[in-house]
Amino acid sequence: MEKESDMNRRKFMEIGIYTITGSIAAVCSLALARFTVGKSFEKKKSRWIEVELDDNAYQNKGFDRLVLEYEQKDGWLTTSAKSLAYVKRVKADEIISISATCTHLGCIVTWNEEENYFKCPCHDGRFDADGKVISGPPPRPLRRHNTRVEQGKIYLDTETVPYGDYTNERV
Amino acid sequence: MNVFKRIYFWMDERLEMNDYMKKDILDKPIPKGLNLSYCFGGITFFLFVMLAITGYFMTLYYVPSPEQAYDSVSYMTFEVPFGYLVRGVHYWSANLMMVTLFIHMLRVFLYGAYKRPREINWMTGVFLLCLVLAFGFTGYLLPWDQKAYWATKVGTSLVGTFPVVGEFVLKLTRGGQNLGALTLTRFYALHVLFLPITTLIFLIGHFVMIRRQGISTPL
Repeated sequence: MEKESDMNRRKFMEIGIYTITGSIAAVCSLALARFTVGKSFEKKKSRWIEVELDDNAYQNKGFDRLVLEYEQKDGWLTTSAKSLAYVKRVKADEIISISATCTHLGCIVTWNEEENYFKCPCHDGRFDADGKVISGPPPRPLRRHNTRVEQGKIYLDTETVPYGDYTNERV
Repeated sequence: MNVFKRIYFWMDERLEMNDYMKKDILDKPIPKGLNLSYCFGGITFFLFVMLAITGYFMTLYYVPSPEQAYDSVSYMTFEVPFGYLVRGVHYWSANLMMVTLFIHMLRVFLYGAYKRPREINWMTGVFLLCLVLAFGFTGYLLPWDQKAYWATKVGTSLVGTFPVVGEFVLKLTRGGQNLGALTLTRFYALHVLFLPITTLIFLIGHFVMIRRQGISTPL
């Protein structure tokens, strides 16, 4: 290679232009990438709703079956959502609310009163009264809603705690 | 020799693009006597590229329906990170494009660059101007706010006053008698599919012709 051609004015300009335009393009791409990601990884905020528990009705059954209805944000839309919870009172101010959504593939489990377990109709997953897996494919116990009792009123957090948080919890 | 160079030479040995790229595209010498006003065609194209890129990304969030259009645009602008930037670049590029396009056209006209043998290129250019205007008109409706709605109402009504064919064209552009969902979806389809593809075809023609015929130098 000739010594002169290593770095001359033309070469310098070429490198300079490529560096500057390349940096601008890189920064713009980062902004576009962030725009594309949007709110995909945003954590759901807790949403407390008040529910009414019929203490007399569930005493014999173990759980009161509550249909939770609430509004939820879906991007720019506000849609109504429904989910099912099995709720019971443990103490005067302590409520347990088990989400009826199966941890396997999201079907709705039903409480079997006679034999004291939750049964999923899709793949025969079974959970005990605490939500622990007895048999079948479910990988984790049933999720629980956070609950709160204030002045006799019962509140549930409809955004259930993510699966991972439940593995070490006492159930 | 690093790995990129080796890949490059491996490809070039087979495709023989290097000579062509150097001679006809990247290192093509420009004639003497050009001035800054010759840049505006290129700037217009640059703005077109910006519009295309930001446009692609905005389709991630936009919904062309009367119920959701406004909310989706508002969500994209104010809640999605950098949404204001992406939409802002689209907005300002579109506005600036009219200016640079006009300067480009004015320069070609004043320098007489449209004359033989470049008449066909002038014609494609004029058609491209029409396409850009159509882009502007259809894009203006998409946010579905008051300004967009009434501007389109007026714009389409203007067409309706044209003798004989007015009523026919009015219904065709609106997709019916009234301005509504059908108008929004067809404007959207025009804006993101029909117009861009047509524009791309004519741009290629525009560029191939200027390369083959060369830039017309001032006298």
